[in-house]
Amino acid sequence: MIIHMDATFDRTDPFSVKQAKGLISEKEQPLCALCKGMKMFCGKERCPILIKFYAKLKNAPKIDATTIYGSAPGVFVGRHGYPMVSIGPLVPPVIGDTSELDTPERWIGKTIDDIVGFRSSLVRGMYKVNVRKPEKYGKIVENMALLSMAENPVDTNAEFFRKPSGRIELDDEVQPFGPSAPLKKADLGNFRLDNRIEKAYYDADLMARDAVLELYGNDTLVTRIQRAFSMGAFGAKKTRRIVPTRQSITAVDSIIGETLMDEVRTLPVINEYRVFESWQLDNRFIVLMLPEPWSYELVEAWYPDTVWNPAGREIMIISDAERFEGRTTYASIGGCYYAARLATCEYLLKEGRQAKVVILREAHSGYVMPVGVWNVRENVRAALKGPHEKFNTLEAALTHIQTKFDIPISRWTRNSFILKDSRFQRRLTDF
Amino acid sequence: MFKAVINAEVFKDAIEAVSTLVDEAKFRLTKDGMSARAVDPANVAMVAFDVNAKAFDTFEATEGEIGIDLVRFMDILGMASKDDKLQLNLNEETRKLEIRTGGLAYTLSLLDPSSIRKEPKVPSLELPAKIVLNGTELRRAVKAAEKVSDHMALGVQDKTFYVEAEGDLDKVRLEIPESSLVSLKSTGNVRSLFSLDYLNDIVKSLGKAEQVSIDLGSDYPVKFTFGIAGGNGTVVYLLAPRIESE
Repeated sequence: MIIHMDATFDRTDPFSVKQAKGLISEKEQPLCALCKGMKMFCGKERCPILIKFYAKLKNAPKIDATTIYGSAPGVFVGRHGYPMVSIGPLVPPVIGDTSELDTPERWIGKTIDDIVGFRSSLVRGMYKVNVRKPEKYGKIVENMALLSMAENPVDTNAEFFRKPSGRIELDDEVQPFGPSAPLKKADLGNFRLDNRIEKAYYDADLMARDAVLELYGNDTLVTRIQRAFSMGAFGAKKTRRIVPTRQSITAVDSIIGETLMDEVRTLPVINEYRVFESWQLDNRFIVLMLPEPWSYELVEAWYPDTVWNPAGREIMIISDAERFEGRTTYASIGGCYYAARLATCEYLLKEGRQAKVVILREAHSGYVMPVGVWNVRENVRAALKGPHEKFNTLEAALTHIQTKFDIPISRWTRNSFILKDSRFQRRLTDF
Repeated sequence: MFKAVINAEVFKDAIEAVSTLVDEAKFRLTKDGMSARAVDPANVAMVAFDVNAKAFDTFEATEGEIGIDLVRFMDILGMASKDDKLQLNLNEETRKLEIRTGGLAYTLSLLDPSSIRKEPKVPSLELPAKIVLNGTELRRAVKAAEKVSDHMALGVQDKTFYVEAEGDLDKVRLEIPESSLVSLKSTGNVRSLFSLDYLNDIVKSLGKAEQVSIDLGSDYPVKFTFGIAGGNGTVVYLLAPRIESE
């Protein structure tokens, strides 16, 4: 009997994890059916389903066809079915300079509506390939590889087997995109390759790692490197393979970050405590730098009713850190860890200093849907470009941070390796 | 000049005492043996390592310093079998260390000693308590503490040595009375708190020692001393304490 009651309870409890997760995916919930985006039963400030709906409406008339002609700003490589994954262009129903649609570096200051709006106009073509044998598929895959290296968006005539369907796709790591359909063929207009990327592509002996670093050194945008990386454009010829977009993003963030870290470790330590901040999409970021040898941590606090804490009644805090020597295992909190680490190293290198860095992030309830790790990378970059406050003691810096955050410093400390280490661990030099 | 032969396992165990704490170290060579002093990048833990020439089958050296990448060195030592002999030979011209074991010949590039972090200043400490016990016991205590917390206390209360860890929910305590210890001397009650992150690294090597002596104070660094290489060498670890949190 008890089991039965529990089961019933589970079905009707709107806040059970299963149900709440449904808010992020496509399934309609009884709760939402009752609300219809009016009463906000789910507790979010704005209804995620409505946002998706509006975004879809804007383009609905244009996608009522099995072909789309538009300037494709990028490609997408899925991860489901690995090593058999779907690759294809992201095509908006517009001709012109659509590069902004796939350049997260330019999205700071945009609202969730803006981002979801323009990203949802990108129709994703899907063509199944084996990641290890891209050459087997001939022209179509080769074209996608070239498209991923293009300097500007490429005029693309995409033909699908059926009308593109589905709403905007959301993912914590990857930026959202619109409806999708199996790709029959894609004809590309004339275009130029980014000559820096082209050079690495035609170098059959250049290791992928070195290619990424060389491009980064040439001021190629990180997201551009990631795009070409996903289509297997780099590496010794025989080892090249297609990499799901999600993994490409973190691979590139991590490769560049590791190399920058090697340099950072040799630099002199900063002289004071520095506090930076950034506030975007209802995400508050505080970057605290301490005058101690390099070490890095990202601590994220998810408020109830945010994307990843939809069912919770309490703030959820997660974190991951590395000591001076670096890490060998994948960070438990995911790709955002590496994105923020890259942004941090860029700053320290520019300053010619090293520091111990802890990034505190409060994701508030206005952050209703995930938009990808670019959000973290660009936010930390933005914070570090801005002015900072200087303090002589850690306690003073923390007192200042407390005025910016709702969560008490004691709770941050309990969840932070670095704060615990700096506040409670004494040094041999103290004796 | 440096030329030596030693049992591979003995040497690997000895070097591991240093490699658990730092990735690279400067070894000082004299005609009487080799030694190293190193501190971790955060200045929390320090190791002093000394091996007497007697630990080696043959040992010849003139005064000098060599910088070793311990990660690569341990990798190579890991290739040797337990009973293999290890031949070490410093090539002065190329500044490389030639390592021969079980038919394998390695050449390890040395690091410029001046590029390695400076040797630490050893703090002078007068610690009121001295406990001597089997290394395995201490390793067991650290493993138990790790299950509930990220730090643990070492202390002496009324002639009993104790180890205690308290997490958000759980607590673990191990008490060893004087009768079960090799020896215990203390002028009063003491207690200091330490990070398990570091202790865990330290007990890897210390756990193999027959006898470990612990010098302990209150909110003061702890000093662990134990023998290596069959009594022909010693390792001393110093670990700074944590202060009790809010």
